[in-house]
Amino acid sequence: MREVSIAGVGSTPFGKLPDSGIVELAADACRDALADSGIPRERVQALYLGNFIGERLADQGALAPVVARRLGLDGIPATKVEAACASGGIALRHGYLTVTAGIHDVVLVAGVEKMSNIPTGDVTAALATAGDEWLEMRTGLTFPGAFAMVMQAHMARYGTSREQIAAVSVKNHDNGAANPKAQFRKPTTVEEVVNSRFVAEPLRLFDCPPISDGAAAAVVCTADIARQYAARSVRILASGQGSGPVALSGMDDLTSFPATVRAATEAFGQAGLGPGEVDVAEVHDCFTIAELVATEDLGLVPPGHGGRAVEAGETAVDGRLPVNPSGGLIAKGHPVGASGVGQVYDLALQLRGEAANQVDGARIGLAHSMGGCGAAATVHILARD
Amino acid sequence: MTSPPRLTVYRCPDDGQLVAARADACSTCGRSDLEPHEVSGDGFVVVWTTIHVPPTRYAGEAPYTVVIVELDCGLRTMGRLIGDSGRELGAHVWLHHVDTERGPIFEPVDPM
Repeated sequence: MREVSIAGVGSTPFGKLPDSGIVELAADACRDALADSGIPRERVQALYLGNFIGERLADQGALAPVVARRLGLDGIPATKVEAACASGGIALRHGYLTVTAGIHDVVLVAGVEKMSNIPTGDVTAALATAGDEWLEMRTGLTFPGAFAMVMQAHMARYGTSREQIAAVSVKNHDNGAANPKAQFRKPTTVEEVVNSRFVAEPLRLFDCPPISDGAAAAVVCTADIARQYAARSVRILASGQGSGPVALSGMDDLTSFPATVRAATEAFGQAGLGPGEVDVAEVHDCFTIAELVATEDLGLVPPGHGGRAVEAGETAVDGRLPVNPSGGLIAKGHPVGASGVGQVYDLALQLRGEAANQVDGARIGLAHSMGGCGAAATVHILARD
Repeated sequence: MTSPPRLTVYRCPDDGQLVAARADACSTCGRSDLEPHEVSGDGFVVVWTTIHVPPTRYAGEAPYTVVIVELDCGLRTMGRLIGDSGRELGAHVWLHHVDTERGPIFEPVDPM
């Protein structure tokens, strides 16, 4: 296995981007990442592109070859990776695997989604395809509804309060306010969160991420090539992936996602590190409650302590363990196929000391991306090179 | 009082394990030729949510409530819930009918 680095990263802003189509968004992020890496385009040997619902929302299939050709990379293997909202994170994993295994030396990884021009009911329906249609989604369940159920289960089992869950939204909005790539640049308050309108009771609008357009990209290569070209690179220490039940009714415990636990166990084992050694984390806060569960499943806090940790400021930028200093999906935005790569964009800036909400002395970063309601998850551990 | 309708689930002929969907294999032994099996539609609400922003196909129906029900046989299943009084963890509900598009529809068992 070879040492693997991220030589460069790029990202479009996340938000409503009416002037760019799905191919332009992906190509823009890729060009940014290549320019940041200093690696000539001709050295790119493969493209892995995370995208969830481009066929349905942007009427474009075969997206990876289309993007490769737009970049002048015609002819290289170009593969779309789909794992619902974990698509981008798992695209990164495939890029990492081919480089560490010695198959390729330089791989371009990207994630993209184009959603904001589609009516909310149609976006809701498209996202719901990540659930089990026959067993659950045909009842009319939506993804906000699925996480509303997880929220109830967490509150009932651990006594997590409505205000603690709202504190995730407040923290992430505070962080997003300082992130120039974020869709939401305004702080909010617990009062505003708990009085916002219901999306799926008891979950409210400010518990949810926005509907977003956006793309992010990373140039993944051997550590030797990164040293040769890149001014500032970061190392990929580990990559884990797991899967879990697609249906909520198939989960024994609605307060924990086995896919995340498996991915984290694998990644920490590979890295030879424990959760206590993580300096900064970007986790999959597709809803406020999802961030609490993620911090518990990743071992960053004990089971049931997620609510207390956020309320006490432990996960704030200046806390014991900063979580989602980018603003997370809730404030930065959630162009679903891009989000996993967007996390890596933000972590790379953290580890290079260039982030908007810079965590002092950050050396080890963790990215966690989850698809569906725990159907798939991936965890990457990055380090300052 | 008439007895409420029963729910069809699937049963492994080898070890008796019940699963909710025909497409699933037995979660214990992996056997896939499961046989239909009728169980009581009685159970309790594990969790509920009331959907205010529905997918396009149910646009005119919101708000409506979706529940996970733990049936008396121990199997969990998802369905719609009629009315407001069952929106409580542990509420006693039973199957009202199975809708061809929406699946199981439950109703609260009147505590009176």
